[in-house]
Amino acid sequence: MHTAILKHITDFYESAIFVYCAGLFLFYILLAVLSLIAIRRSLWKNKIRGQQMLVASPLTPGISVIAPAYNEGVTIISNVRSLLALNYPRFEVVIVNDGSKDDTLQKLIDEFELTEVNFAYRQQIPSQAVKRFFKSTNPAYSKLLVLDKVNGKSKADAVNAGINASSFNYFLNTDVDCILARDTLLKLIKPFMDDPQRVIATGAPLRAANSCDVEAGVITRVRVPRSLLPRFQEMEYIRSYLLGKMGWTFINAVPNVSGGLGLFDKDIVIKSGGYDPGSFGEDMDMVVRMCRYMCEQDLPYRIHYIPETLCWTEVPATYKIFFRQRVRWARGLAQIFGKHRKVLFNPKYKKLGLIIFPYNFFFELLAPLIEFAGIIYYIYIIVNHLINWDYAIILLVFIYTFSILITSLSMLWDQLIFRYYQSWKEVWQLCILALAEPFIYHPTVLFCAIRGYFNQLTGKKHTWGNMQRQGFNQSPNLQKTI
Amino acid sequence: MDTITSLREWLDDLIYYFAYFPLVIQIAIIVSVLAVTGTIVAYVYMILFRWQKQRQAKKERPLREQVNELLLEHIIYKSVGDPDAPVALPLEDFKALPLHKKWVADVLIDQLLEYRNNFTGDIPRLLRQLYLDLGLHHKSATVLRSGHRKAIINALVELSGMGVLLEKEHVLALTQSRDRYIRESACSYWVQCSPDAPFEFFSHVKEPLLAWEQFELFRIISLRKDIPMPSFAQWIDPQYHPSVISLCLKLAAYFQQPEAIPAMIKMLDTPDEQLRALTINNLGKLMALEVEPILVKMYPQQPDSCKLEILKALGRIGSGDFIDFLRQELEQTEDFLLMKHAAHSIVAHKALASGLIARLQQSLTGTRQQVLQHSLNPLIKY
Repeated sequence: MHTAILKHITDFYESAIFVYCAGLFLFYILLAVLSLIAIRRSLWKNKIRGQQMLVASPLTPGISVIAPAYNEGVTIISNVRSLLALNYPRFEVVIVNDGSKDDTLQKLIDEFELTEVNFAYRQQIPSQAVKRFFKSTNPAYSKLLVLDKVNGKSKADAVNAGINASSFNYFLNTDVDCILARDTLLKLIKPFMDDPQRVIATGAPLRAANSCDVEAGVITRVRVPRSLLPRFQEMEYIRSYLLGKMGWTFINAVPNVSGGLGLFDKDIVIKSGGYDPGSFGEDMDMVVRMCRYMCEQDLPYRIHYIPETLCWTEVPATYKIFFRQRVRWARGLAQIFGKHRKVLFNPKYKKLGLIIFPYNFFFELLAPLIEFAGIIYYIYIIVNHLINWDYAIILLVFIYTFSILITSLSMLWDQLIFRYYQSWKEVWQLCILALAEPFIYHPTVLFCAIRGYFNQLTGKKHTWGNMQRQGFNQSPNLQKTI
Repeated sequence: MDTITSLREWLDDLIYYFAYFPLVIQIAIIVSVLAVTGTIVAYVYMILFRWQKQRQAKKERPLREQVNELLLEHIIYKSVGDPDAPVALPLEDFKALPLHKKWVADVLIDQLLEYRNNFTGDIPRLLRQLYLDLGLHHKSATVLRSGHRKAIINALVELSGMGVLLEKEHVLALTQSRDRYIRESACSYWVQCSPDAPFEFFSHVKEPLLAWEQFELFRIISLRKDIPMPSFAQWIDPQYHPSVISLCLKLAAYFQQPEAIPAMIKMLDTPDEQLRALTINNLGKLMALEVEPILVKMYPQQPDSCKLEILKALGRIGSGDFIDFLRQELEQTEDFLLMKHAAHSIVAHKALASGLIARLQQSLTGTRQQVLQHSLNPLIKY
């Protein structure tokens, strides 16, 4: 009797897991198709519309570039120079020194000839107090505004201060250590101008800058990261942005605009309450709140992603930092579902409630738990000699081959766009990783997700820690001059 | 060897017993086969795509160099060297190129467009003439009536870039197309190339001109030096589409057409808040002195966006007649933005406000004092 019941339960569990996997794979295939259409459409639009027209137009809207800095003394000068060199007719760069303990602020003052000014500051969204404001006495740096504030223990707090001090209706949220393409602002503002509906945010793919050649804050040669861990992350970024975000863009259901690079409608961000300093996934939380606000006001809106990579960032190169980052991300996701639980399956929130949240709930939040339970189940049936090895192998091959297919398609989409890597060798170095990912990288990510959920459940205090920068490759030309 | 043999046997069994497997396993096998096939196809396509692009680049490189040399030697250097001397187009040299091949013609057109974009003076005219003399426009002219959406748009972009107007009636009809991109390209093309009535379609616009279209039209119009600008006031009228009015408001201010001021004043009654704010903004840019009392009178009934524009306009016009109104706003409003713009506008009055500023510096306290200091600091622009 007991055995029969147990058999029914295991049969049901196995069938349910299969249906879950099939559903997930169907979503992936759908996203792959939609992303290809969205990418082709975006490239075609770029071909018929050059953004250079915006450079000369007196009508081009202004943009505030907001970049928080915490203990960035080593690289701050070249990073700020890089931001000031962006190709856009009307912008300001707001650097928020978030209570750095090193010489970040002093270096800025010395290099950019800053002087303290009496600045009319209005706190529209919460942040720690701003102590001082600095402007440059050198007209060459007139676009630069530096805020010195009390450390808020989160990027969200610093960005909020930057938003409060910013002058324009649009702001770019980035990290001061990110390397941006020169035309970033031109490319990101385009969707705001070009859509009949109100666009509330745009984003673009990020990539690993770890092994790229950099000269004076500009990427001169894109390379595949040499170390294995950053290389896996590069592959994951390509898949996530080109196959995921571009697919969601097509149906206007983008779940998140990355904290590393996103252009936002300031008015909606402020009306939604700004970034939440208590959130571990402040970027997704912000986008969810913006979408909620638009739905609650019954205002149509769009969030766009464009396929060109506009931002290179140094991804974690050591397992310690990588674990910390991924545990935080997982915790952030769990936190968002706790905070916005009313949204799930709520028709009032339209696509957010009926597509974005259900997808993220079943296939992002629950996936690690289901996978973990699956591993335990596998071990149980192996130990108890209940396993049918033929079927088990077939099912594992099913999952393995599909995961390789999805990564291969994202690599193909990447090649269709710009072919960032100069040599075949680099492309193959990434492609070959798809074979190893399910054995090496994926279990690591799974472990971090489970750990993150556990920490969130137990309310364990999160230590932010400092991301140790390893610095970029200086291009050969520059090395000669040093 | 044993492993390979046993794997082969396992696969043979799989095929043999496939029909007897549970449905779940059958689906898993089929999906796995499709996934492997898909992966192989993706990699093969990737190889072929990269190889084809490399081959194309290799093939085009010498042609591009040759075309560059011809253009530089026969047109650019001669025009730059002696701008007044007539330049004879070297048609024979260009005809020696195998222009019957599509890719060769495409490369040449691409280069001509690039040079036209990057040069001013007589060079764009010569390049246009070369384009016409070589008959490169025939293909685009045919495509315009093809009914193929993307081809039509590409043709419109190409002809617009070359400044060649063909099929006038048809293009004018395309400005009313239901397809947004065709309509937009046709409008830009028409405004760019029409010799006598580039603004004709303004009167017939039914669908909104998006911000991007307005930018594009604004750019084209502001660069056209070959025709006298019409009075844009004629379209600043509620009978026209609000997006046309919006564009014409900006154009009237850009070309400093004071004759548009009466039409703009009439627009101050519009129920469309955004349009009203834009009207006020452009009245300020035209420094319409006569509008100051009207703006001050309507101020209390306006929403914040319009109030803001009124304060900015008073600063731009800067007659000094309403400086007391600005002072009152700076001293009394609780809205930070209004406070800031009132202060900015007082400072914009320069010498006329020097006495008032000195008094305000003494009397204001707290945020209002800070706002005034902010506005007075030449290092802070916004």
